[in-house]
Amino acid sequence: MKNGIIISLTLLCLAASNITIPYPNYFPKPNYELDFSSKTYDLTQLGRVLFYDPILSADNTISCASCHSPYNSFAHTDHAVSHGIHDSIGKRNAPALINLAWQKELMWDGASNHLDVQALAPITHPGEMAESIEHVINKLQNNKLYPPLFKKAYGDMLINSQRMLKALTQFQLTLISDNSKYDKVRRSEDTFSIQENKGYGLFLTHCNSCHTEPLFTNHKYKNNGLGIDSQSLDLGRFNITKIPYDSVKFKVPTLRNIGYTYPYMHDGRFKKLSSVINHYISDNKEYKYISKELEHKISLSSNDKSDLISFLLTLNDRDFIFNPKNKFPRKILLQPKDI
Amino acid sequence: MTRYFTVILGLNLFYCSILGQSHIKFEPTYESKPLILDSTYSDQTKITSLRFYIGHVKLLKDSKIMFEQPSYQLMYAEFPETLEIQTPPNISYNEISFSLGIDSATNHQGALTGDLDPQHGMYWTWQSGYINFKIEGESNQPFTYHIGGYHKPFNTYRKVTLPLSSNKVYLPINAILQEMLPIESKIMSPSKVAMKFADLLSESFFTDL
Repeated sequence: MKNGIIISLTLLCLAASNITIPYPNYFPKPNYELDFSSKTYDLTQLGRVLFYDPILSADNTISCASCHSPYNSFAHTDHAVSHGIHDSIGKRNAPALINLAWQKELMWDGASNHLDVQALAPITHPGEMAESIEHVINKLQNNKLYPPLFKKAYGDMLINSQRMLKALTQFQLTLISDNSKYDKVRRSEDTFSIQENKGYGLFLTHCNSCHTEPLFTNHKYKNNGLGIDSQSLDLGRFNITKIPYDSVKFKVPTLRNIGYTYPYMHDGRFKKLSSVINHYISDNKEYKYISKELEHKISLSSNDKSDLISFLLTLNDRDFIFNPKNKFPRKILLQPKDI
Repeated sequence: MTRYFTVILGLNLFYCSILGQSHIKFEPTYESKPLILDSTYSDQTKITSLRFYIGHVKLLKDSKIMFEQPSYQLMYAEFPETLEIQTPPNISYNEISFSLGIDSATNHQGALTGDLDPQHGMYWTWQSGYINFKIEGESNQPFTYHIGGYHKPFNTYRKVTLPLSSNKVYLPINAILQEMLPIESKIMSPSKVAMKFADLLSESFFTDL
């Protein structure tokens, strides 16, 4: 009898864990349907292998992970802007690939309207992976590794662009970062220090209108007064909408894992968080199209700045950074392919 | 027996061809003749590539829908079979409606396959969105028109309705180029001039009626 109760309780727990929502209850509803059950395991693995495989680039040297490293929250530390094939240099800083399920549009200027089609941009960009979709598919079809992986994921060996893109999407949707100290405090598993708490107060007053918690972005396009980069002449959102009002606007990036994603801003011009804060409190901004949230002066003492930074560092999610599920799939990709 | 079937088959083919109701053909023309790619016309114009999306084809008889194909078809000038919309035989109609290009909802659906596979060169990779109509060639100077854009203020998706008695819908390429070339020879993103091109295209289709 007792055993029976234990077994049924275990079964109940298992059933409950199957329908567990894979994000905290204080997160909003995502824009994508999330299914991380055992049914989608092989699809996620296929996406992971594709993400780390340089086969997606023209000369098989650059993978998605070349600019989106797991140790940097899938951004690229120490690189102001992306580097691509044949040592070419891009014009924007590789953004962190986390909590993408909540983004309506991708890229700094919102050029991609769906995670599926986002990958087409870096794969075909002459300065990034410089490959054609047709040729990538051809390479995957003729590689011994992929037909069985597609079969596992989709039930048959058909390889086409839709299947490749949807597998990449599935892997990227699993990149949910929700276990920072901030999250633990939200779940009453931890408490902020006095300094972090002061910083949180300053954050709510000065930063939260754009870097809105709990995702630490409102997913909108803003002009933060940086002024146009004289080299790249990057007009940001304007390039997509052609509306002058959108000049030099870029998507508000998440602040989660901010300690791992330096350098900062769309063009990576600031190496340190203190430089970013100094920009926001300085008068030396380009005010012509600046977003209304930044029209008034922000005053912070040097103590305030330290407090704010100590709070921002509570957004680092170490468990996410070192999660082996997100890393290079050694077992699959390091197999000798042609033996 | 076999001979009997052959006769029936022959008769069927005969009726289908005179009634012309086994397909609707979209026919790009130049100087009132079917367009030939890579041929230099008397005005020194040469078309090297032409492809476009036609979707939501409906055949109507006195406003009543007789045939409907909700999907999109990618039409390549170099492959005549792609210019045909297959229909059941023996339907009668006196009107056709269709869309030129891909609607906004479909543009938001992520990765698609078949005629909507991005590997057909009809998808912008640097910015999401299908190219609805693509024509390239030269006319004293090279021209490239990639007409697309699925949201305001540059939504280039167009609906067309025309009376129809035959099975052919014509698109006069020379008239379109004559109007566009003096304005712009290169369109490769959603813009005001792409909107003008889309308007012109949607007004240019014609039938025998």
